[in-house]
Amino acid sequence: MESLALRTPTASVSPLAVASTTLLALSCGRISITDPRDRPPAWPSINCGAVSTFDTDGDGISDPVERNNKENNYADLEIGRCDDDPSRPIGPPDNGDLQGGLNLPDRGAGYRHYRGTDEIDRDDWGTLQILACVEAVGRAVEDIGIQLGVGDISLRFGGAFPPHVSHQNGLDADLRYVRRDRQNRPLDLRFQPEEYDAEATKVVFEAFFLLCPVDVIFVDLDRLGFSIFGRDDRLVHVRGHSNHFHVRVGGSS
Amino acid sequence: MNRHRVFGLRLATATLTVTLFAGPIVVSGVRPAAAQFVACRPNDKNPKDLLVITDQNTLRPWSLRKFPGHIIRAEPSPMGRYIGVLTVDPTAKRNGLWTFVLQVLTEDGRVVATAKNAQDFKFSPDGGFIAVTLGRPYEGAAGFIPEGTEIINLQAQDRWKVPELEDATEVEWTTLPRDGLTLMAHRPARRSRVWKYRMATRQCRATSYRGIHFSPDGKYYYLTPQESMDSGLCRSRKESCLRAFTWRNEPVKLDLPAQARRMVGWFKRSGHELVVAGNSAGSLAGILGIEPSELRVDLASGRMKKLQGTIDRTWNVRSGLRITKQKAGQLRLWFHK
Repeated sequence: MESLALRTPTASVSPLAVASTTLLALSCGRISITDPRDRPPAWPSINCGAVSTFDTDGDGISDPVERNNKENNYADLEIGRCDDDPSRPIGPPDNGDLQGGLNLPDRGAGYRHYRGTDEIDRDDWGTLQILACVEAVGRAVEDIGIQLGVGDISLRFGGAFPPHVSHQNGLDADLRYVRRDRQNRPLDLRFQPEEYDAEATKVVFEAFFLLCPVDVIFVDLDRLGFSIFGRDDRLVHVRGHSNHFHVRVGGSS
Repeated sequence: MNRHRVFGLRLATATLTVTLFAGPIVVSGVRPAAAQFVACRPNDKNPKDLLVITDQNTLRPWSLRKFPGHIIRAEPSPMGRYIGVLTVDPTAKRNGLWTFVLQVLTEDGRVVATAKNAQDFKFSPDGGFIAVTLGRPYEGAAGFIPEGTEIINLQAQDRWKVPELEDATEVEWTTLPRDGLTLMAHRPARRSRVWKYRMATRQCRATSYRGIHFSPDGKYYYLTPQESMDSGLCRSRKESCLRAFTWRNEPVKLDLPAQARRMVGWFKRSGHELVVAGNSAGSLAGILGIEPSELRVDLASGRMKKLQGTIDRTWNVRSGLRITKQKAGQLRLWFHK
């Protein structure tokens, strides 16, 4: 079985720890890596001037997100300028809207958006919280060969998003479980258990809990194959989640 | 040949039988009337899945059937006359994703009904009908995009789609005092999310219920955790829902621990005995008697029958009471005779 531990000359170090440390250094303190249950007042925190390689103006909105939304005239964002977060979740996830939503670039460091038969930029709008969360986890797991498969987030202005019950206020995202072959392709735990990499998926989950203010992750607990110490109350079994898991971050605004 | 052993133990009123199968069993079922097992086991050397029907007393397989696609779920009808088997349809992909096909078999392996693009199925309480949720696979939401609800009369070989339930994501049969045999449907895209379809009149209408899992006597229903995080136990006639019950005088949230919330169902032979597994004080499984006069569950009253100390993995109460545990390739199956 492939090991997820990175080898160094002297010791075996958790790749997640390496990735997290790297992220922490790169973020220059702008993205708070704290226990999400402490629920920081705002996430990601804005500290203009504290730049990083992925956010050169230090406004908490990554350069790829700024570029994507500026080039498509989705939002008035400027790389090199300290922009305010324009996005606001309105109402609850199953009866809400999205104000000033940002569009997730279809591909970024450690993630790729799968959209099925949907039109480009139809279903990948969210708050800065969920976008920054996906980007942070993507950067964290990229070094260990994982590419997140990111599915539906919200529609541009939120609201009802059939066939979803929730995904209405830009705080929810569907993602693929990690495959053993690391291909960013569909995987259904019900009949493809031999292709499922529970160990790698656990690393992804831990990264979400470490790097994001995760409210809950909806999963197929019968087939997930792992638990996360101290976080099991945030892993909730909901029918229909054997071919994807669903991350919901906390709305701090 | 699989190794197995069986032993029984007697609790207050029921006999439990424990069976251990060696091998990578993925789904299982119990035929209550015929008192036989249905076990589905992937053949390691052959991609085809097997449906194995064994004699409960001898545990010898007496009927085998191979399926061209992997088995997603297999379940016997309540009276044990039919077995519904949902498998991957190896002949059809949609949008690059596998579709599923439902086959309803008799105990001798004869196919009496088939439904393509099936996502789920539920037998009626008498086993005479089966409701099939149709849909195309989708990597999000409930795992599929609903494409209708079909009802099949297995005896008369009659089948029809319920037009109003084209967007139902989950259905459940119940027998309500005023309505008779009724199909409850969850329609998350609608303002009224729970609808009922009366079989007698073939009429469908919205309800104010919040859940579809009714007790056999129709007096209560429970809410399964959806993405809205709503769960609990509710009275059918009044808009009141229970969020907690007591266990040895300590309040226990019916909002069960996340990892145990799926483990809830009605004990099918009773009026309104709720089967739960897991609580905040520690793992447990039991049958809860609900006080008829009020919406209250008191485990300290002695109405609860504790069944097993530690459980995990798979729980299925639809075909009698069952708790299964898979560990190191073994399946442990518990059920009421």
